[in-house]
Amino acid sequence: MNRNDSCRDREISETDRSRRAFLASVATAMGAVSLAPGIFLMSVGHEVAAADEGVRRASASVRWGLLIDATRCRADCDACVLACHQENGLPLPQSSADVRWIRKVTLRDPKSGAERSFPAMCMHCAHPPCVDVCPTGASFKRADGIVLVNRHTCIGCRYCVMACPYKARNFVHAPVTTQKPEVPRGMGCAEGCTLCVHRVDQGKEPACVAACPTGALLFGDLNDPHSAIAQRVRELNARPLRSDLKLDPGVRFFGV
Amino acid sequence: MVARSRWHHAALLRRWRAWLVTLCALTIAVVALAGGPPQVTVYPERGPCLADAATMRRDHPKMLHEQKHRTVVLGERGARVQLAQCVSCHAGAQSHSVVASERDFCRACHDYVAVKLDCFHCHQGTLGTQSAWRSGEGR
Amino acid sequence: MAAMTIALDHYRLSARYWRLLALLALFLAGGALSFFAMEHWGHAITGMSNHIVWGTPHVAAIFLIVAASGALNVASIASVFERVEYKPRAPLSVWLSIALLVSGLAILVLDLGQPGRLTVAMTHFNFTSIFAWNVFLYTGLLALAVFYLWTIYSPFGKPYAKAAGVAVFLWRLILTSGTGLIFGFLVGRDGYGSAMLAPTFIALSLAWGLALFLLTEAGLEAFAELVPLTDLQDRLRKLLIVFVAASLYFVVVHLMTLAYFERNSAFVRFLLLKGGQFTAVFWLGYVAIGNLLPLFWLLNKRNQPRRSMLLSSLAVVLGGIAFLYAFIIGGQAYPLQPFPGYEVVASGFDDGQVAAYIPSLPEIGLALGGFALAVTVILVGARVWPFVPRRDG
Repeated sequence: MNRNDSCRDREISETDRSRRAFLASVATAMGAVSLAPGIFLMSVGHEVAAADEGVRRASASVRWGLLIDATRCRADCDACVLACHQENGLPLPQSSADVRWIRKVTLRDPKSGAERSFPAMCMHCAHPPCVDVCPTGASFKRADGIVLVNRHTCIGCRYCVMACPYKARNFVHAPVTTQKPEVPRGMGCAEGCTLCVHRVDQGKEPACVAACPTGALLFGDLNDPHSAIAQRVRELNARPLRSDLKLDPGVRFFGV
Repeated sequence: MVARSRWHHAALLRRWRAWLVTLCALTIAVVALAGGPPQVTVYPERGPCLADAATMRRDHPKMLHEQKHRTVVLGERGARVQLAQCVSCHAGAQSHSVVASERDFCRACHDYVAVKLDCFHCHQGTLGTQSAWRSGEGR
Repeated sequence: MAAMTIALDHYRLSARYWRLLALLALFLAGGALSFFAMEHWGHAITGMSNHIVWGTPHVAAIFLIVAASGALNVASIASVFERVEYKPRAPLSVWLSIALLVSGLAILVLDLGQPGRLTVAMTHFNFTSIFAWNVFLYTGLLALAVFYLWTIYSPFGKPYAKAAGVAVFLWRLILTSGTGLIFGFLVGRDGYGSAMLAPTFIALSLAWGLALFLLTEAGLEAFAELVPLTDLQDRLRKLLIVFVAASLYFVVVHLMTLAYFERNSAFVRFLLLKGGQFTAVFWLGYVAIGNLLPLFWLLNKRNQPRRSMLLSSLAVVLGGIAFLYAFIIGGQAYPLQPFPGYEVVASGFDDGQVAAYIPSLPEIGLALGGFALAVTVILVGARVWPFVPRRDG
């Protein structure tokens, strides 16, 4: 089933290839003249949809990911968590019924006694169990690898919460009124970290990455071998959590 | 006997029709007294809408329905149809919202036609924390 | 066995019937109230949380759905295995299955975060999800069961009776596998994630369904003031023994499979030794009440056979609910292991902690409402159609 997913992606990218090449030349020609510089920047992660000029879509040539360097993360700092709650309009959690898209954990290696602190969130797997189990297809993976919940088709069955091995999916247990306009969310749906998709599509980093004071978080395109994240991942041999499950998470860790 | 019965029958029929006419008239009167279709305020100074009022009234569910898949699943940004844009143009001057009060733009009509308004269960229908896509402002 | 003809009868109206329906209406109203409360204030008013997202309603719903498959035992013996002496009981067996399935599904749907989006669930399918498959398996069983009833009652249906019986039999085996695999196909949770759960759930369904069938038949006889039918008593007693023993065997094998793999053995230790309420419910509720007690009663021939069989059936039902409580809620209370090999010093989301859970009033209300719905459907059905077997003449 997971293989089917990647096949579908490949099909899309192949049929799109010639069109994209054409569009790229058109965009290059027109870009300097008529397109806003902002849109030009956006074409890094977004391809221009054919039907509607100026409308950009998530591109399968990109795989957004995060590198979390636990050796740089401070145990007493929760800037990323606060930034996430503020950016996405999430109230600060008070009970186990409240949602957490990101959490700080501090672990101890029982053999060496060494402690490590780092944030954990949705791992944006290439083969996400939450997508496999969702009966309506509301839980889905975008072309650029970001795993999201389509709240229009989520029926609130919570099977994805059961399926996620990272405890990254939450269910909204109470009415919501404090939504941010760019982050719609409401009672009765499952949800999780969106990798700040609304910021990423604007060419910005996720809020947690922007807020990290020590540079422990790095965001970028794992598919691009020249990107900063891909180079660091290679350098540090950064690995995902629970690599035994072979879910190919887009979030990699160093020092865990 | 027969003729009388027929007359009687016709009279009954006529009376039945009369009742029906009265009922219709009463219904119309009640609806008219209740105020008829709601009067919603529009703000032309906020700029033109995507289409004329009649088209918008008829087609806005279809437009939103088609766009929601493209935005959420395909990741389309900068689309013509954007719910946040609807809110920022149509929010009431006092309530700053399309749903907060009974006279607000979306709610007034949806209440009137008794169609459940599900968008603002998740989408923010009140201005205030708005950071519009169009402005493209970043940090 | 003395020659005896058995006729099918409508359930007879009596003051008892109406009193029982009034009582059930009370429970149904309680269920409705619970649903509206959860719909209005959200699941925050329940005992469920982001650690335990499937609570008491799911225990009740899955019990009813699994038992619905087992309730067809008697019909399957009559049709597939062609034992004519079971035939008079086949209609009640099928109707009980329909009642249990509808009620279980009602609980599941009313517990959804978005119950109003049932149409979405019926029009959007992701076929890698066992849940999506179950939508077809459940509605398919309902359709087949209704068709099977038609073949029993209609003179035009007779030629298809055998085929319908076989179809229902095969379908329910697949359906119960599908229900078990809701848990079997979960990779992240140490208590589940085993294909063993498919046959385990089939074995459990055989025991729970037969127990509920025996209780239903006895209940209808008692309320219709009929002389109890005892013609198959000894065979059904032996059957219940086999089913209870088989289901216990499968549960033991599932737990041994988990215990054998080092990664999952901690979960088995948790369930059997250190799980607090879940350990208590598993040993007392499932092992003692659900297995040892009925086996003791059923195997001891000095007991009054009818009474011991009904008491055993009741114990099997209570044990089944206890099993699912320990399995579903205990399985979630046991912490996920996103960071294997490490001790959790601090976490913003209670990593490494056993989650607390106390069933709340709305959850219990919804669950009881579901059970009441099942009984109501049985009673109303038995009034409308002749389901109740009685001694003729």
